[in-house]
Amino acid sequence: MPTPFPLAPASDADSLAGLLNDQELSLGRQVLSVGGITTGNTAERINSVTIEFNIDADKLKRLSVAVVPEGATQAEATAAGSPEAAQNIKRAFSTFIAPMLHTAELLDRSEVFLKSDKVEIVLLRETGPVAATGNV
Amino acid sequence: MKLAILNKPRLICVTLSFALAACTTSDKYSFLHYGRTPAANATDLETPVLSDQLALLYASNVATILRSRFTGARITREISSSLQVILAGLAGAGAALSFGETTLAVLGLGSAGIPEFQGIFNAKGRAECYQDAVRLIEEAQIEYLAHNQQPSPSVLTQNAVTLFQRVTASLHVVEKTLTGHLPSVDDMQKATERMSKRGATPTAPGVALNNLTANPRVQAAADREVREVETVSRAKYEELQEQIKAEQTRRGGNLNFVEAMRQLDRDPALQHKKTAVYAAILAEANLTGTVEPDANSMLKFFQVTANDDQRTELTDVVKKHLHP
Repeated sequence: MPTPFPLAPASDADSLAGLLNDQELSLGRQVLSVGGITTGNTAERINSVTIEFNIDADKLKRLSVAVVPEGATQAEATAAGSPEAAQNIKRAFSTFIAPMLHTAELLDRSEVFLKSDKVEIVLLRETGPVAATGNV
Repeated sequence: MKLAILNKPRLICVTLSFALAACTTSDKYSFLHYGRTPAANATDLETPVLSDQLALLYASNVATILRSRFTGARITREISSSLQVILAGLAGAGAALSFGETTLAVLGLGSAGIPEFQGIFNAKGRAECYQDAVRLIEEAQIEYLAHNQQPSPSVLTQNAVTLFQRVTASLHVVEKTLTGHLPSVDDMQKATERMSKRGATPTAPGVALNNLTANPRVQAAADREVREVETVSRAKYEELQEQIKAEQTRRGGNLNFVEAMRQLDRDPALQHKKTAVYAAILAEANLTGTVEPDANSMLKFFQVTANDDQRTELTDVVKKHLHP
C-alpha cells in the first residue's frame, strides 16, 4: 500500500535525490514517486514522496533526479501555440532523456520545488542497459 | 578541299581525347579520398568494422562515383554541343571549302540532329541530377566533420549513421529523378537530416540522439504524464509541516529499528522460520493481531502507526532475537 511522506526542503536535484535515496537506504521505504505540494502561497511549498515499505529497498539500484531543461517541459508543450511547436517540445524532451535511459528507467516525471522554485524533474533508477528494438 | 585534309589520324586523336575525358574523375580533389583511401595492392587490408571512418569513406566513394557520372554526362553534353557548332560552321563554309552537295547535306543533317540526341540521353538533366546528389553528400560530410574532426576507426556514432542515411537517401533521389519520378518528401528529409553535437559522441546501441529512437524506454518516457503540483489547504499544509518535524524527531528510532529488522530478516539461520520469529516478536510486544507477522508490515506499523511505547517495546524485542 503506497504511503505518502512529506520531505524536507531540497536546494537542487542532487539534494532531492539524496533525500529520496535516504528513504530507501535508511528507512526501508521504496520510492515510487515524488511531487510538489503548495497552498498556492509561494512561501508554502514542500515536496512529498510516495513510498512502499520494503525491507530490501537498500538493495535496489540508486535513484537520480534530473531537471528537465527549459524548452522541453510538459508545461511549455501544453502552452505551445501550435501542434508543431508542442511536438518540437516533446522531441526536445526525448532528446534530453534518451541518453539517461540507456542505463536507467524512468520512475516518475513530475513538478517539484527546488529552493522553492517550481521545476519539472525526472526521477530515474539506475538499471542495466536496455535491449534495443527496431532500427536506428 | 575535303574533310580528309584535316589529317585523319589527328582528327581521330582529338575526338578520342574529348570522348575519353568522360572516363576521368576529379576525385583527386576530394578531401577525404585524398587523405584516406588505402592502396589497392595493400596486403594488410582487413574486414572493416562499422565505424565513422568507414561511413565517411563510403560517402566519399559514392560522391566520387556520382561525380564521375556527372563528368561523363557533362562532357557528353559539351562535346555534342561543340560538334553541333563545328558541323554547322563547316556546312556554312561549304561553298568556300568547295564541299560537294552530299557532304553539305550530311553536315547539315548532323548539326540539326544533335539536339535531338541530346534530348534522348538528357545529358543536361542527368548532369544536374548527379551534381545535386554530390552536393548533398558533400554537405553531409562537411556537416559531420564540423561536429567531429577525429572520426573514429572503431565506433559508429549517431552522426555517422545519419551520414550513411543521407548518402543512401541522395542515391534514392538520383534514381527517382533519372526514372522520371519526383523524390518524396521523406526522401528529401532523409537526405537532409541534420546532425548534432551530441550525435558526434560515441553511444551504445539503443541510444539515438538525433534520429528515430530504438530505445523503447524513450517513447514510454515521452508518453508519461507529468505529475503536477498538488494544491492543498492551509490546514493540510500545516499538518504536513508537523509531520516533517515528527519524522526528524523519530528518525533515530526508525534507523535503529530498520537496521535491527534487516539483520534479523537477512540472518541465514532464520531463512525458513522468519514468519514464526516475527509472530513471536509481535506476541512478546503484545501486538498479535495488530500487525501481520512480516517484515514490511512491521516496518510500516513502527514508522506510521505505533506510539512511542510500542516503538520502544518493539525495538527491544527485535534486538533480543538478533544473534550476537
